Order: sequence, then C-alpha cells, then structure tokens
Amino acid sequence: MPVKTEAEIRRALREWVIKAGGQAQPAEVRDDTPLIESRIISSLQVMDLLLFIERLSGLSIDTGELDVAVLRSIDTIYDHFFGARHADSTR
Amino acid sequence: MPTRHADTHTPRLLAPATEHAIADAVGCDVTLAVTTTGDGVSPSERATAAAWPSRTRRDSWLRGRAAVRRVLDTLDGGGATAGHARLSVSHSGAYTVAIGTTSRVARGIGVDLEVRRAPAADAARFFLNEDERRWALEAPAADQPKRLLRLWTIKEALFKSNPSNQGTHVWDYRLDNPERSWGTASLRGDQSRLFRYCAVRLAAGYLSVAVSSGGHR
Repeated sequence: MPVKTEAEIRRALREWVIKAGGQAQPAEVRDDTPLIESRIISSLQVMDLLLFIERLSGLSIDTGELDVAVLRSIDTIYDHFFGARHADSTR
Repeated sequence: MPTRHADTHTPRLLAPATEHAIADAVGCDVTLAVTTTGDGVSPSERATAAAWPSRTRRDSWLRGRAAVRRVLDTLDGGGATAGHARLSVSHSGAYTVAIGTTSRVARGIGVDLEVRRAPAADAARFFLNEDERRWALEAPAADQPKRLLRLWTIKEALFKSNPSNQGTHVWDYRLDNPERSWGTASLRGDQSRLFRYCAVRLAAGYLSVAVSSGGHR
C-alpha cells in the first residue's frame, strides 16, 4: 500500500467509521469524537475497525498488548498506529 | 430460580422457559424487558433525544430508556431504583433488551444482543484466546459464524457485568469451557471475581447474559 499522507489516513478512517457504523451523520464525526462512547460504532464493529487499521497501516495488531484507550477516536487511532511511523516516513 | 418478564406485551424475542434458564445459569433472579419502540418514555427524555440528528441513534436510545423503565417497574414489585439495581442494556437491529437484578449475589450484570451479524473469522484472534479460537474455528465453515457470534456475545456480556471494567476489554475475559453455552469465566489477572454466563440461541443471533460476583475461584 503506498504511503498515505496524514490527511488521507484520517479521511479513510473517518469514511470507514461513518459507513461501517451507519449511526451518525458525517458532521457528527470529528477527529476527536469518542467513537464507542458516542455509539458511532458498536463494540463488535471495533473488531472490523482493527482489521481495517491493519490493512491501512500494514501492522499486525496484538490485542493482548493493546490499551483500548487508543481506539477512542480518530485522533487517538492516528496517533497510536500511524503518527510516529508517518513522521518517520516523511522526515 | 424465577425470572420475571417485565411486560407481557414486549416482543417475543425470548421464550418464557428460556428466561428461567438464564436465571438458573447465572445464579440469581433477573428481570428482562425487550422493546422495539420508545413508548412510555417521558417528555423530557423525548426532548433530549430530539436534539440528536441521527434518527437511528435517537430511536435506539429511546428504546433503551423504555426498556430500563419496564425493568425498574417490575424489579422488587416496582420498588427498585436505578441507584440500587444492577442494570444493563443492549441494542441490535430493531430490538433493545434491558436486564436488571437486585440480587446480593450480583456485583454487576451484563447483557449483549446480536441479531444482525457475526464477527469476521479473521477477527477471532482479536477477542478469543487459543482454546476459544480452536473451538470456534474447528467447526465446519457454515457453523463458524454461529460459534463466533455466541462467544462474542458472551464476552461482551462478561465485560458489561464487571462494574470495574475500565481499562479492560472483551479479550481480557476467558471462558473456562468455550464449548458450553453456560458456565463460568474469569478476568485475566484478577482471581477475585467469579463470572457466570448464559448464551441463548435466537432465530437470528444470540443473547447472552453474565453476572459477576465476589469470592475467589
């Protein structure tokens, strides 16, 4: 998968959340919106989100090592799974 | 051990005999309510929901309030309050289910309903341990979604039943015997709680209930 810009990754995450969740209007989903607490996506859909993050990032996720707080919002997902790597790749 | 259905007019998602089985499996008296509408909620609750742009979320929230109200109206002969009852709510498709108990046995209660879809087989590694995954994926391909969904709803109910579940997720809860549709479970790294669960097969999914109690295993 080609290297994506931060804006492209955030847009991809936002579009996935809105489509998969089917519960929220696009205007309701900001990058800091709590996705699970606000019931934008269900806990079952979190499993699909993890698969999507793996495809988007190329990472393999081990939930045994995962702090659930990183799945709170698009901001936290980006920071945890993409932020440092993206900074490295664009340096 | 009796289970009281909160409203004889609620949709028959569950047969009465099944409701008794849930209470026997989790070891305490429980009250269930199933709703498909928000009928019976207060005007202020409707006003709160009206502010949300998403009709889907608005409707499911109102169904949840209606279901909880029915449970509280039935628990302890209508004398229960949200402050001392343990309650849990789950939404799936057109249904919302609420469950409550005032039993001293239960530190917490959890319910999960899924009638629409099962977890992807690729996602099993995210929420199942090795034993659970082996049982789910050793089934013929056609049966795997049912097993995955049963385990998912059990784990979600276990998570919800833990009143101190902050910092935990569904993958932290382990079934002692994943082949059983009712039994006991534990929380990784915490031997101070005993969890009992029961999974009920529905026409198009599963409903699982879990209760957490104190005491060493």
